[in-house]
Amino acid sequence: MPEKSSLADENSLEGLEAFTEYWFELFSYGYVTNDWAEFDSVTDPGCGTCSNVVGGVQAHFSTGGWVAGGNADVVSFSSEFELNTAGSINSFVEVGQGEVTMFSSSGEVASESASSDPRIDVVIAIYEAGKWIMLDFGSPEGT
Amino acid sequence: MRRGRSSYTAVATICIVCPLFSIDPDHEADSKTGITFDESNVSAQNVTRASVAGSDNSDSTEAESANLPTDDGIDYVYERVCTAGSQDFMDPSYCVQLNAQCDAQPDGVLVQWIEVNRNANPPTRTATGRSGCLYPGAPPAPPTAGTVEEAPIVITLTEFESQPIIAAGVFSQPDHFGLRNAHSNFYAVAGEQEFSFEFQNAQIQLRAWPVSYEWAYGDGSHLVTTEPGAVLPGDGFDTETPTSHLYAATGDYFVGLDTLFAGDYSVDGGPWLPVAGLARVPSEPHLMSIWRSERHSVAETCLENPAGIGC
Repeated sequence: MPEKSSLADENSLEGLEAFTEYWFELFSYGYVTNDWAEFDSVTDPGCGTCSNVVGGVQAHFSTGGWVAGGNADVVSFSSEFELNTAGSINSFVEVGQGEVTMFSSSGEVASESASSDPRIDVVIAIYEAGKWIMLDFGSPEGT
Repeated sequence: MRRGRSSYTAVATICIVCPLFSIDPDHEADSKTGITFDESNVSAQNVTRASVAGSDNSDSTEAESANLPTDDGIDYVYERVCTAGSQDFMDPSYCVQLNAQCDAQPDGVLVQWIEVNRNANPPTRTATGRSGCLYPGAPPAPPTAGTVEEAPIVITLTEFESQPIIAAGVFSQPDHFGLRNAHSNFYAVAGEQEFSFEFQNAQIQLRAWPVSYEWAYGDGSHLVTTEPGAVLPGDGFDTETPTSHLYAATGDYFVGLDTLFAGDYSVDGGPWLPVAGLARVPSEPHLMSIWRSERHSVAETCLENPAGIGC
């Protein structure tokens, strides 16, 4: 279970970066454990990419299978740390992902996805009640 | 991680009364199959808490129903997400990658939507957290159901490239001369430039700045980089740099450089708009003579043996 540093609860550029790294650790953790409790508590249900991934992992675990790999690697983070009109903050994150192997309930490899090179995505987060909530993660809107 | 605002803030008013942005419910229901980030990736546009009732969409509902030609003092304008300028908070190569994601057409530029509130004095500018792609010849589509009523004057890459943009100077160390199997340092010197011209009965101001350099070293090898390179102290002989090149054979080579400039324009003194695409400006070919060096040990001077090597 990833541990959240106290920095990751700070309302600052450094705090947001630490939170973003923590959030991707929770993502990686969820892939292999199907434990999304902490992830869900810091993620808004409006995150489309998240619900696609989480839904896919949960569906696979529900068949008795499991998942290996999928580790997210945050290469860089950049943000102007400026509130938008909705009170949240957009940042860019360069993130790669290790290969993902899905095993069936009988232990056979059901599918394999190669690792992906880092690409630049957008993360949108909001600070409320003393902590960060991830609102969205995905490719820049419009691309 | 760098911070600080861009020195090339570019904005353009596209509509006086735009409907406020609404969250697109479709973006979650993508028919993705796999579970990796790549396979599951949809664009990030959720800037509000979906789980807090009443907080997310109330404004946009009002705005859509009140989509009448009244001036509420709120404008939406777009600006470049990144300029690849030296003052930008983002790495130049990052900018190139980011704009490359606007790949539905060639020459896309990633732009972000800014809310301008003219009810405040001076008007305030606040990012909306929403973005879009600008493609040649048309303003970007705002992330809303509303359409852009009036096509503003658009400066395309064709007009941009027809400006007398001064090409980058090409320099090498040692000057025009190098040795085989030694690093020859090359660098480009290009600066920001401004132009004024008339277009469709409007006065256009245009500013251009270099963002990318494409070297052709004349021996078949190429380099594309966001770094102009720099002069090295001394003669810079045989020092590897991000823009240096090593020739494997002797001879005369014509080194070519194309510099890609980004541009922003202003119509009749209005806000700065980005030009979709980059202007390619070739520099004069730079002659480089590559020699070989040989070392011989001799026992006699040239006076003693006029037929000796090197005499």
